Parts: sequence; C-alpha cells; structure tokens
Amino acid sequence: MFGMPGLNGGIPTQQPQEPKSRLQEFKESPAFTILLNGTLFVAGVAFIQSPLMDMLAPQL
Amino acid sequence: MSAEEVQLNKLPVSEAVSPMTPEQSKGSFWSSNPISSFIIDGYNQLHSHRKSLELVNPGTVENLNKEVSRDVFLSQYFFTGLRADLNKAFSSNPAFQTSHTFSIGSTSLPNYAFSALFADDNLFVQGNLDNDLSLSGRLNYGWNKNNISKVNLQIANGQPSMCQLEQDYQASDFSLNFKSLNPSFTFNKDSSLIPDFSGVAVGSILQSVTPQLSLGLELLYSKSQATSPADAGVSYLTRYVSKKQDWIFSGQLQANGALVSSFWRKVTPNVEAGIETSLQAGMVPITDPVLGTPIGIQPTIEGATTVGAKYEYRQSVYRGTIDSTGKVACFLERKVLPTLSILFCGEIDHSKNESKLGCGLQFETAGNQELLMMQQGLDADGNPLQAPPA
Repeated sequence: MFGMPGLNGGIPTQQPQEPKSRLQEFKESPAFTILLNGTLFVAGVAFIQSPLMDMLAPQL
Repeated sequence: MSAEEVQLNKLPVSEAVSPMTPEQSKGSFWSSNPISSFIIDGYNQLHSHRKSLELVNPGTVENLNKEVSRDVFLSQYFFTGLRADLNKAFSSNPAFQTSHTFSIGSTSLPNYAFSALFADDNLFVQGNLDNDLSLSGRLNYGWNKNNISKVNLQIANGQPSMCQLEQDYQASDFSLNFKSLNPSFTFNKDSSLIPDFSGVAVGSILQSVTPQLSLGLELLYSKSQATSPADAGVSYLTRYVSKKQDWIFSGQLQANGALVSSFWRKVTPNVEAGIETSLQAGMVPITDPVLGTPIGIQPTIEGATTVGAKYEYRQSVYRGTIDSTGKVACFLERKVLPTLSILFCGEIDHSKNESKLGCGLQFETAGNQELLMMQQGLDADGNPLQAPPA
C-alpha cells in the first residue's frame, strides 16, 4: 500500500521512447500513403501506356 | 363608323409587345401562353444545344469502372478449394439454363448450389438455392430500351432478408438510377401524412459533358430504423473515355471517405490492362497508454494499388494481378473440350505469408440437339458454323 519513495509504488511506468526520426514520422503519416499510392498509380498508367506493355502482348 | 372611332380601336404597338406570330396563334394553350412558352422555348433551345454537342450515353454508375474491376481483375472469379460446375443449356433463345455447383474446402462457396436462369429480349430471371437453404433471386425487366426495372431478393438462413428494388433510365446523354434496399414505410401515430422511411435509398446521375467526359453524383440516404437518426452522403464520379475508346479513366470520391481511381487500356484486341488505386480515410481511436481509455481520435488513410492484365484467347482466358500490399494472384480458365473447361486460381500474400489455391472443372452440356451441334461447331444441318466477320 505504501511504497518506498523512488520505487514508484508498483505503478507501471512508461518506458522512455526513443525520439522518432523525421523519416519515420513521415512514413507513419497519412501523407506517405497518399504519396506512395499516387506515385504507384501514375507509374502504373505510364507503364500501361508505354511500348513496354505493347511488348507484353503477344503478336498473333 | 366615324374616323374618331377607327382611331380609338387602333391599339398602341410598342416594341416589347409584338402581335402573335402565325405559328403561335396556331399552337395550343401551352405554346401560346407567354409563361409556359418561355419555358418550352428555353427547353427546346437547351435540347437543340445538347444535340449539337453530339453527346453519347455515358453508361451506368454501377459500371463506372467495370472494365478494370470486373473484366481485368479476378476478384469476381476468384475461389478457393475444389469446385465443379455442371451447366446444362436447354435453349438459346429464349435462354434457359440450369447449373449445379459442387464445392469443397472453400470458405465462401456453399457445398452445393443449384441455379436456374431464364432470359429473353426483355426479361432476365435467375434463382439460386444452396445446401444452407439460402435463396437468392434476380429479376430484370426492360420496359423499353431506356427503362429497366430490377429486383434482387436474398433470404439466407439465420441472416436478415434482403430486398433491393432498382430502376435504371438511360437517356441519349445521361443515365439515372434509383435503388432502395429493404425499403419500409411506417405511419406515425400522430396522424402525420408523411410516412417514416427506413432502409437505404440511393439515387445517382451520370451526365456526359463532352463526347468523352462524363460527370456524376450519387446521393445515399440510410436509416436503419424508423426511430434512429438518418445518415446521408454524396459521392462524386467522373469517367473519361478516349476518342479511340482504347483507354478509360474513372474516378470516384465516395461518401464514406474513399477515393478510387482506375485506368484501363485495350492493348491489343486480345489483351487488356488495368490499374486501380483506392485510398480510404478513417478514424482510429487513441487510447491512453497507462489507463487504456480512449482519449481522442486520429485520422488515418489506408491505401492499395492493384495492377493487372487479362489475356483472352479462343480457348483460354488468363488474368493476373499484383498489388502494393504484396499480393500476387492469377486466374486461368482453359477450354480443353467444347464441353469441358478447367479453372485454376492461386494467390500468394507475401506480406502475410499466406497462399490460396483453387481448382475447378466446368461441364457444359446441351439439353437439345441444336445446342449439341452448336457446341461442336456445327449448325442444325451438320454443316460447319461460319465465324462472324471480325
């Protein structure tokens, strides 16, 4: 019931978290998802419209 | 008659008030009436202007990204486990077909299902019954080439029944659609003349703005119970079809916070490719790390991009997709005999280390002599069928 001073009295303490890097913060933000998927969509459209896609279609 | 009387009978004619033209004097009450004729003239001018734009029907909202999500992607066709379909066609016009589907090792397909289909020029009826005694039915009736009424019914064992009523109207340059899911009207006890609506009601319009571009809106109203508060939302839609009709872009900003954009291209007559990106905005509760109680909410966005291709040949169809979450999937359908097709589908989820596999057989049998001959590439007299000109 009574804890020794300095022993926190049995209350769980939060582990000190290491500060996140800016890159880690950006990767966890919604802007990263928007940017990633937006880039993938544009890259995918460019790929489908490119001659590479024509080459993937067999010429029968 | 004196000269003075003649002058009194002469009405002053101002520039703004002109006498009726011969066409107006011959017309009916509505065309000669100044108020209604203004409206009718305005409508006619708008109609002639719309005709001069050479707009075409943009298709339905339901089929906004059909080319990608239904034709190229394999989500509509994917299954797991083993399955066998036994289809028997009894006639081709009107079409009447029955089907028995057996399945094992699947989480979505029932072990046995029977379905029957009837279709003629105006009517389409389909019914399914499975071994869990779940019954579903569809009825589409075309009143004319512009109006189609649809009814969907689903009575599942241990689940609430579902009824969906739908009306499609397709005009020369726009499409309207109204649908209602489990509609119910109840009258209040306080003798109110307006009934309380419960269920889901959706109205949508897709309008061609140019021969290539169309814009649309979808309104959704939902009320689960007559006493509960209602929910409403608006979705914004767009679709662009290229001049050669060899590529299509479509975008949707949905009422639930989802943004879906898709792109489709017909690479060659046998090959199609498509990509779809969906971003879903949502809210996640933040909990206190010590006490575990919610202390707020945090906006989140989940996204996925899927790219796929479809190769369609005379005897086989191959679909393959790969998405940004590390999922690779394929579906192969090959006709080994005129009456027998083999289905194979597989999916590997690299991020979750999971895989799914499905194999199936599809038997097509003919219920009469004419269809039997047609399956073997012969007409009713036993002569080889001529392929339609490409």
